[in-house]
Amino acid sequence: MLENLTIEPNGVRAIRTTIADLDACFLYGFVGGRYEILDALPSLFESTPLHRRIQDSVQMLTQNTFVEAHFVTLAAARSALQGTLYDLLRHHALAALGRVSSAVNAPSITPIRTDPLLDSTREWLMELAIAGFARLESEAVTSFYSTLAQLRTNPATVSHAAMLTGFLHELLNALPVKSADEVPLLRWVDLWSRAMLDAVGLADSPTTIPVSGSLYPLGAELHQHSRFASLIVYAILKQADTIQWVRQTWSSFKATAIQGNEIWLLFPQAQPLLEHLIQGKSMTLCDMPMLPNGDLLWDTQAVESGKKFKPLDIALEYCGVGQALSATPLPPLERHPVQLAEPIALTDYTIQGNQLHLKEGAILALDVRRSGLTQEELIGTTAILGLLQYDEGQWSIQALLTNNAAGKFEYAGRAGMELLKKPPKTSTVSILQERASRLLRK
Amino acid sequence: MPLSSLSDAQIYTSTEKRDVKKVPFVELLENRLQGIVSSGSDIERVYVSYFEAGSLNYCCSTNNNRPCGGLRGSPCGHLGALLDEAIIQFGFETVGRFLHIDMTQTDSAQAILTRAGHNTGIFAGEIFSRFLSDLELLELPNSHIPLSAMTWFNG
Ligand SMILES: [Zn+2]
Repeated sequence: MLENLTIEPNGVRAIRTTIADLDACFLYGFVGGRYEILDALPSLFESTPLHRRIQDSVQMLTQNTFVEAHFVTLAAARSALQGTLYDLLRHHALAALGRVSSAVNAPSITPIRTDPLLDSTREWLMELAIAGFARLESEAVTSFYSTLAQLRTNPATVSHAAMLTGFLHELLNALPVKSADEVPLLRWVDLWSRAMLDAVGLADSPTTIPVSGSLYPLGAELHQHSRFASLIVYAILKQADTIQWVRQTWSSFKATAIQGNEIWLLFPQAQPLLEHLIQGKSMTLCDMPMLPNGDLLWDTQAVESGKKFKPLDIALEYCGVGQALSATPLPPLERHPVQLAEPIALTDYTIQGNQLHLKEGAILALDVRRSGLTQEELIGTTAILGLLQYDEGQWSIQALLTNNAAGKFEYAGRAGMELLKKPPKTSTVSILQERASRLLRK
Repeated sequence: MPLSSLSDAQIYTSTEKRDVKKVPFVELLENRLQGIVSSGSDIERVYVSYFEAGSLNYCCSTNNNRPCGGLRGSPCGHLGALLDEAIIQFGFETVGRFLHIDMTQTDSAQAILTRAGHNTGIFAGEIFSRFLSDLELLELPNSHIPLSAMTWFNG
C-alpha cells in the first residue's frame, strides 16, 4: 500500500508550477512588473467564488493600482492553490495508509473583527510585495517594529505576533540580499500569504467539545525561531467508540539567548504530560476541551494520572498502515502541504543512509529539517512512530519515537524533557527572567 | 533557488554553555555585532559594546553613555567577552561571515581581536533599548492554543 505514496497524484505538478509562477511576481515586486501569470490567474479560478475578485484585483494590479485589498486577493488565491495541494496530497497519503479522512463539520472560520494593528500589518505586507523580496531595504522591514511590539502584547493576536516576529527577523537577517538566487522565495511568499490572510481580521475561536477517555502521549516536538517557541505533544485519545490522533500545544516568547535544550524550561505547564510521555503512562481525561480538528486546550482540572502502557504497541495498534485512525484535516484557511503530518507507525524496516527501507519495497526519506530523531539514533531500531510530511515535492518521515531490539525507547526531545523534569538552579531562563524583573520594573 | 517551504538554516547549538550573566544579550544586526556586557563590580551597571562588520572598528560605553575605561587603543575585556559569547550563540562560521573575516586566515576569537580596527567613539545607546525589548519577550504570557503558522519555523 505504502509504495503508492511516491506516485505523484494528478494535478500536483501543475499547481506547483502555477504557485512558482505567481511567486516570481514577489521577487522583483509589482512596480512596473508585467507578469503573464497575473493575466492567466482569473481563468484558473473560473467558477469558483474567488473568480470575480481575482479578475478585478489583477486588472488593478497590472495598472499599478496598489491597494491592500488586491494583495489580500493574491494571498487568497495562493492560499487556495496551496490548500488544494494539501487536500490532494492528504487524500493520497490517507489512501496509501489505508485510512479514511474523517469528515469535520467544523464551520469555516470567518474573520469578524478588524483591528487597527492588523490594518497596519496588511499595509506593511503590501509594501514588502510592492518592493519585491530581492530588492528589500532594511527600513521597509524595520518600519514594522512598533506595530509588532503591540501585536505581541495582545493575547488575541499571539498567533500573528509569533509568526510576524519570526518573519521580520528572518528578512532582516537576510539583508542586504546579494543575489536573487539566495531568496527562499517559496518560503517567504508562504509566510507572506499566511500573514496577509491572518491579518484580514480576528475570528472567534471555534467552539470546543469536551472529551473524555484515555490519553496515550506518544511524542513531542518543538517549532521555534529566535524569539518564540512552541512545544507540541502528540497523543492517541481513546474515547468510548473512537480512536483519535490529538495534539496539545504550549507556546512562549523567549529572549534570543535561550537556545537548545533550555527552551524546554519555558514550558513548566507541560511537565506533567511530558512526565507521562517519558514514563509510558496514560492520562485519564474528563471533559477536556478540544477543538474540532483534534487540538486539546489543556485544563489541569480535567486530567488524572492513568495506567502504564507500551508506547510502540499503542502506536502500531492505532497508527500502523491499514489501521482506521481518525485524523481530522486543518481548517480550510490553514491548509498547506507544509502542515501535512499524518502519524505513521512502522516495523520491518532498515535504515540505509538517510532513508528508511521497508521490507515490502517502499522507501521513505528521513526528515532532516525538523526536530525528529536522527539517522544515527534510528540505526538498529525495530519500530518507529513518526509524522508523514511533504516538502519540496517529496514525502519524508519525522521520527518521534522508536525502540531497539532490547525494548529500550527513544523519544525525540528526550534531553529537553529531562532538563525540564529536574530544572537546574540557575539557567539562561532563570538568569534572564531575574534580569527582566529587575530592569523592567524600575 | 531553494524550493522548500521550510527554513534550511539549522538553528546553531553550541556544545559550550552561554554565559548570560556576563553577556545577557548579543545580536548580529545590520552592520554590527552588538550587545550588552555586565559590569564585573556593579550589578546596576552594564556596558553597551559593538564591532562593525568589515572594518572591525568598535566602541564600548556604559548604559549611561560614559566611555568605557578599558578602551586603551585596543578592544576592552567587554568587547572580548561579547565576541566570545557571540561565537557560542551563533557559531564561529556565522560570526566570521557576518564580520567579513577571511576565514582561511582566522580561526579564533583571539585572532579576530588582533585584527580589530579603531575606537569609533560613537556610543550606541539604542543597543540597550534593544536589550530591554529582548527581555520584555520573557514577560509576555504563555499560550496553550494551537499555532499552525509556527509549522514553518521548523528549527
Ligand atoms: Zn568596555
